[in-house]
Amino acid sequence: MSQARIARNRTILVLIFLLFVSFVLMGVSQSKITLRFKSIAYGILYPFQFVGVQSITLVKDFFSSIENNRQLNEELAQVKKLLEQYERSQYEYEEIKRENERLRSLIGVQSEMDYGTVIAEIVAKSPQDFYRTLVVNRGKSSGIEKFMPVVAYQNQAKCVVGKIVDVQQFSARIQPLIDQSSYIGAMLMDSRYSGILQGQSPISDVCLLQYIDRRAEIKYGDLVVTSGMGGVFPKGIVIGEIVSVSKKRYGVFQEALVQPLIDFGHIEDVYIITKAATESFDILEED
Amino acid sequence: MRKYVIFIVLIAFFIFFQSTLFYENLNIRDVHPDFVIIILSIAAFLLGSMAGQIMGFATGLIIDVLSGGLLGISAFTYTVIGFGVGIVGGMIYGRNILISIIMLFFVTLAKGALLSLIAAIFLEPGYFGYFSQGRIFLEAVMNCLLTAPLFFIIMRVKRIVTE
Repeated sequence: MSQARIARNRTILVLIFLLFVSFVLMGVSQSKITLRFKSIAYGILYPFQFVGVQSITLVKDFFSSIENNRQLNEELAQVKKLLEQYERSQYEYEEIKRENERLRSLIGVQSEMDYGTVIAEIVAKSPQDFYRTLVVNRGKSSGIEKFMPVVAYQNQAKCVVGKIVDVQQFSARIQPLIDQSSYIGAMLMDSRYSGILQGQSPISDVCLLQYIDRRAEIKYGDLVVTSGMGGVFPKGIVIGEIVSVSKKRYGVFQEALVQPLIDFGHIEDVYIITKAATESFDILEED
Repeated sequence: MRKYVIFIVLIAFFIFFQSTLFYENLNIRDVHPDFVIIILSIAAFLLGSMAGQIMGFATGLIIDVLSGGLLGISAFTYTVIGFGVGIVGGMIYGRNILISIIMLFFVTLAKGALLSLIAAIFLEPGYFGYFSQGRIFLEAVMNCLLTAPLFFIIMRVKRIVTE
């Protein structure tokens, strides 16, 4: 057998082996061993990703610092004005909150818990457009656990970003709500009809709200919030706005497209709500 | 050995580059170019199918781990691309930049098709929209436009390092 033929056969054998390994990895992707392997491998790669990303960001920041300086001065002036408004609103808010709690205790309604939050900075994202995962610089050392909800402030409103899906000692990975594997219990803020919100990435950054009761009157611009069902997200956090409705002539449900309020192209800081997933969610995870 | 190191360093650099938030701003209608596939394809084109598939597998596996998605999907896709481009490179005489540009167009489409198909089978059927919706064509055009300068830079660096 000639050298060229031997080399060609070896190449094909290596190809078959690599493709077989890839298939096996895909097939057992959700097994505990593979998930553990992924977590360990990510723990090894993350320091390199962090150093690489920070180095590139440093060079980019150096060149954009002059323009940034001017923008920062403008933003500072705006933020100072906003702060004055917030200080005025804070007093009114405290009054309303006290009145609300007093009325709730009068009618015997248990008040909702306020959850603590941990602020985190987004340090990296998925290197491929196919997935939209985000990496933050907070991990187990900051009390972060898997499936903790993540929010951010956009236009002065607290909005859903996603949930924690992997935690290392000093970093964590967020699955954004626009990811196609993301499902969130949601409801229309005004009519309170509930549904399930699924991401559509990488096709689109708009989410699909499914299984809404057909009787619900939905219109363009209606706000969608978390329903609290599912055990991950507290109730009442803003998700986005309705941008289109699809109601077939038959069937008991209707669907709508929801534009998240969060701009995932420009998000920098997030708040991780330190609320552990409920017991039912833990059991589902173990299965 | 040095020529392999050049490509390994470049692939690692662009994986980190595509992980930065700055990269989000490099888009046309929310479609980003894929520097990693460009470098991998040029590497396979110049070094052959064996090097191409091994580099493709390693690159894809690293991307899968960093993305947190289905483990093995990018490894499979990039292995096939590395092998395929290496085979094509072996059949073509000379290293013409125009051939690289045309090749990148079809490589990008192949990447989109493979990723969509595998994700639709192993994850959600809706993932196939990534290819069928046509955004991949815009990415292919962007990759073609970037291939020429990158190919030129790589050939210059390779010549300097190997001399």
